[in-house]
Amino acid sequence: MKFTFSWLQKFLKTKRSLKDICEKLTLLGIEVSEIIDNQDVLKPFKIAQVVDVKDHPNADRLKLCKINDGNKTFNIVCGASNVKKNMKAILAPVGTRMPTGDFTIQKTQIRGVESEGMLCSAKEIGLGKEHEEIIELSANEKIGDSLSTLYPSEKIIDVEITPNRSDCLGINGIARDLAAGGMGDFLEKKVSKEKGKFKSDIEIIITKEAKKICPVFYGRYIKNVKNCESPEWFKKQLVAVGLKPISALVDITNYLTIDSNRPLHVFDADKIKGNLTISLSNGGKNFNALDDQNYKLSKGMITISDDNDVISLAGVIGGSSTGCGLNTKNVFLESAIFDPVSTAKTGRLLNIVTDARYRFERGVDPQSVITGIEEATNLILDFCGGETSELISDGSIPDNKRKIVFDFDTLEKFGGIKISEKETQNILNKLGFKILKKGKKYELISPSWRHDIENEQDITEEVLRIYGYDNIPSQSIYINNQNSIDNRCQIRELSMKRCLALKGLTETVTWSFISKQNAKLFGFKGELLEITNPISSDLDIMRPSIIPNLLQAISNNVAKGEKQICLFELGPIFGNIKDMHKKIPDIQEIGLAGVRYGKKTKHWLETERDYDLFDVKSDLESLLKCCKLSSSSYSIKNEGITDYYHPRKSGTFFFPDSASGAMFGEIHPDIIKKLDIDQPVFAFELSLFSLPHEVVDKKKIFKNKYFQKVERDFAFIVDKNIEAGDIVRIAAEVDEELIDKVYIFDVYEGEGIPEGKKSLAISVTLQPTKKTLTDLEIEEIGKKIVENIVKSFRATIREK
Amino acid sequence: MFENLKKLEQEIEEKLSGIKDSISLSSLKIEIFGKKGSITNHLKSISSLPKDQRKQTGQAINDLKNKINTIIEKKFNDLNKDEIENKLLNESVDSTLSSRPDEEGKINPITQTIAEVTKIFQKMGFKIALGPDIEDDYHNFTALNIPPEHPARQLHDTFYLKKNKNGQKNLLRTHTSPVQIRTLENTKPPLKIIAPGRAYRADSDITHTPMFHQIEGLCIDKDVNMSHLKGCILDFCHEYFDIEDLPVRFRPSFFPFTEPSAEVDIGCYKNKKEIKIGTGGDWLEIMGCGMVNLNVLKNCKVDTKKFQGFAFGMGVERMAMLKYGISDLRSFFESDLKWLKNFGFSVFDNIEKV
Repeated sequence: MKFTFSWLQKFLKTKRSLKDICEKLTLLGIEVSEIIDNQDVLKPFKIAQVVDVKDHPNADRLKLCKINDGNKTFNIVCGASNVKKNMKAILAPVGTRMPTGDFTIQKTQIRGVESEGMLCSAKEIGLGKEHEEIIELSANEKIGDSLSTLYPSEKIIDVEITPNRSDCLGINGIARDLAAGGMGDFLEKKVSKEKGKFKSDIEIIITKEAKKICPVFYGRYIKNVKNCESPEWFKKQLVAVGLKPISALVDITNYLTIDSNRPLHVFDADKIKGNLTISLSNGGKNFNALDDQNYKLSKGMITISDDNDVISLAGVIGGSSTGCGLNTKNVFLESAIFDPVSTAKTGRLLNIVTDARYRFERGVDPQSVITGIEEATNLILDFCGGETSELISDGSIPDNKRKIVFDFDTLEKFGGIKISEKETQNILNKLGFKILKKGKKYELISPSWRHDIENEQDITEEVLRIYGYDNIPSQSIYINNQNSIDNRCQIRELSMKRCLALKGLTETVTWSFISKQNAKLFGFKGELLEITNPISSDLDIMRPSIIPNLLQAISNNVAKGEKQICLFELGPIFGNIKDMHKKIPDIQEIGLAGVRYGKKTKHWLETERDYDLFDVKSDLESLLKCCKLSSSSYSIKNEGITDYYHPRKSGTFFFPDSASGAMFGEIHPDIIKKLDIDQPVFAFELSLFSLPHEVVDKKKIFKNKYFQKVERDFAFIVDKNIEAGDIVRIAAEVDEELIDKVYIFDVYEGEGIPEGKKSLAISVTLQPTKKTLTDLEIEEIGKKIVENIVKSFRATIREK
Repeated sequence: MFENLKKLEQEIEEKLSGIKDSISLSSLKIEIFGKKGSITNHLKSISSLPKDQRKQTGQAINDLKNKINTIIEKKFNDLNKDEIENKLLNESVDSTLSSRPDEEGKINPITQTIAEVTKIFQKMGFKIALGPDIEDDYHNFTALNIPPEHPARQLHDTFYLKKNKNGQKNLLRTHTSPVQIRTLENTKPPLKIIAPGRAYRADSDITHTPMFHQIEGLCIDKDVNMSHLKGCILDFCHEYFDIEDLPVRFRPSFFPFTEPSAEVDIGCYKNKKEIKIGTGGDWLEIMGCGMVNLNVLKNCKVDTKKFQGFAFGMGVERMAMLKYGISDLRSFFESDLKWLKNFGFSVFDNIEKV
């Protein structure tokens, strides 16, 4: 909200500087976002005289002017129709930055003639709407002076009012807070009351159902007014705070809205048929509003109707059929209270934002109904003349003052500071509270303009706020024993991230959403969670996997020319999840996924190669190691893969007792192609919820004396479709105590191996713990391994 | 016999003089001293000599053995020296060639910031708590003292989900504050929690993204008051920004779920080009906080006669931008590899001041 320092002074007697006031405002909770000086805007413009006017040689409508700025004379090309010799005008010299157009005046050639500056219209400086003609100043103005000398210096303060402080949506409310904060004395409004000379022609009826929403409605008929433009001083005040002057009648209502948070409405009384009824709409009707829009009313909206039709959406916007214009002769003035919730609902449903709605939905002081209508009456009589009727009304002014018991001790209990009773009383008095009873338990009456004050805690806040948060001491709360804080979950996530970063993947963060199109492309099955009001159609499905976003990231980076892209993300995934979590609405897990694209970094000693499936498999294995899950806590199979992986180049890690596993593999070539990625992408993903608990690592008893380790290699020829993992498992099972490690060290197909077969070579390490093995014992184990593998897989030994 | 020895000595010396490398010298040594070596054979033959000659001959062979041995050892030394010198002369590698590459990735600044922030609060006894991104209206608004038509709801541009099977219309949490409610529903006070996570608002421009991160803090105990809130936030600001005399200001504000409420500003120096945290006369808003509104505690069935507390919330991206000089909020979510490498952190970057 904007207000001027001079307007504030209508309510605050102060000797403080603007700077002090603004600093205090912020510390009172009324944040100052900007202080604007009108002099800064006007200063660059100069008063100048047109000393000669000639026609432009190359253009009919342009004039060649000689301008004197008090210093020298120069040429300006001007297109205004009213430019004439000897007139005084406003000059924007070369180098002036124009406040309205965001451009700077430069020396230029216009149709072959040099022009050094611009003569300005009202619109170009922001002083009005006129833009065809340039401003003509009075002949008395002094050539060479800055335009700012013609306008009184005015500082405009822009503040942000929190939703609870509707009282500060009027400048009087801001002044009251400043006075309580010791910035001066609050000046109460003195409004003289007009008795009225006749009875209003129009009556007001609030229907029974509407009384809850409109508890009180005051009106006054003023006849024989002469609507006109408001006086200059009045218009300047409105312009300064960003309001457009329209006509005196309308300007007065706008003025009081800002002045004291008192929205009012003026009807052209001659356009009202019969009486006014405030009632709840049955819905279905259309209504033409002052903003030239047509709105369809819904059931329950509160409206003001005459005998014919709805003429106002009460508290939100007036109707065009009864609007006041410059030819309005008779006026009906409205001052009422409307329920905040109802006003908010109507405004939101119809998407209407007005100053009235903004204030009624935050709360307007019911006591201002009468002072508001009286002040408006005075101003109307002042500006437009006329005769006023008696006040008429229906309903009664609601008593919203609350009686609050306030335990003085809560101040210290909450605030952590002792404030004297005298100080506390002083603050409460200045804020407008009535103190009924003092002592340990105060009894207070809240002021009618403070809708936000309901209880003891509210009172505490008020006293502390005015007393100043900076006066509250601060106490550290560090503890000695931080090890007692169990944040294991977090530590695990951080270790996993570090593990992947060490393997060359960079952590990214992408949206929790994907597009419906990608959801379809990736073929997610099951229930997808869809956003009803997405910000764009790219972001309308809650992602069931992180992979689509990572692939999108690869695609974007490939387009930027990146050749090696390794990314991962840890974050939420939604829906489509097998294990249901009961307590939270809809389903969410924490997922971790990574992708690799391109070639490994080149090195002069090594042959260059592309990333492959076994890079991402290794990523997954490292992650599981990082979670303290040994290879015995999972099994790996060529199955259970989702549709977006290559069906024959992917695998799954299965954990016992978990429905889902960790997946890895090459992304389906079709998807890669559709996302404009030119090379295969390898990916892995897992849900942190599906991981078994970590295995607490018990150290083995260390035997000082180790017996000689033995390594034996075997090569088998098996059917191509035999899974290597199974061979390793069968070999390891031969003697679980003695066999320390089994791994595949060679896979071969081709020359020397029959069609449909492959050769797999395994290396087996025996680690005896009790005694050194004899040649015979070693041979026996070897024989058993061969026997079991041959039997299980119909394998043959491959001779060297 | 002695002549034989003399001859042998000559032969050996001849052979020795012709040897140019240590490998041939090793074989010669075996030829002389091996199981069937020439001197070994002589030593073996002593037993077949008459007793009176044995001692003298034995002595002579041993002398020869020692003499030859000394020569060979010396020759070994010389040859080794030559050979190593040769090796050093002829072998070389350009050590400035690149080593085998480590492909080190980077940790995202959001992760780093959350870790740094939570670590500081952990030292104050806060424990990490988490809640779902998909929330219901009650936890996101009503329980936090934001009733349906409250004007504060307008400030939250809420994303809604299509009705689920139970006919419930859920939403994406607009802040991490619902974690306060969920924690209070499940945990008996006293408690201190810190809750990092994603939040969502249907807003997208230079300073807003539809998704962002927040960190929420809640401390409920028997006698915590605003001075503890101030101490906690002051200590945090000083530690996080690592500026001892950083000005910190508490400015009254309004949040439905706290009362009294405050916004926290830190000192800075601003000009058109940059913002520098520290002293400089300007202020920069960094978080909201306040004493938990008693209505919120009552909604969670906390005995407000016994317990009260404070809460605070901050934007992670904003904290990261201020500390690490990142200027564009939207860049956090663009996955631009160059950006990620530039603003990302090494695994070895500390989350705590050393």
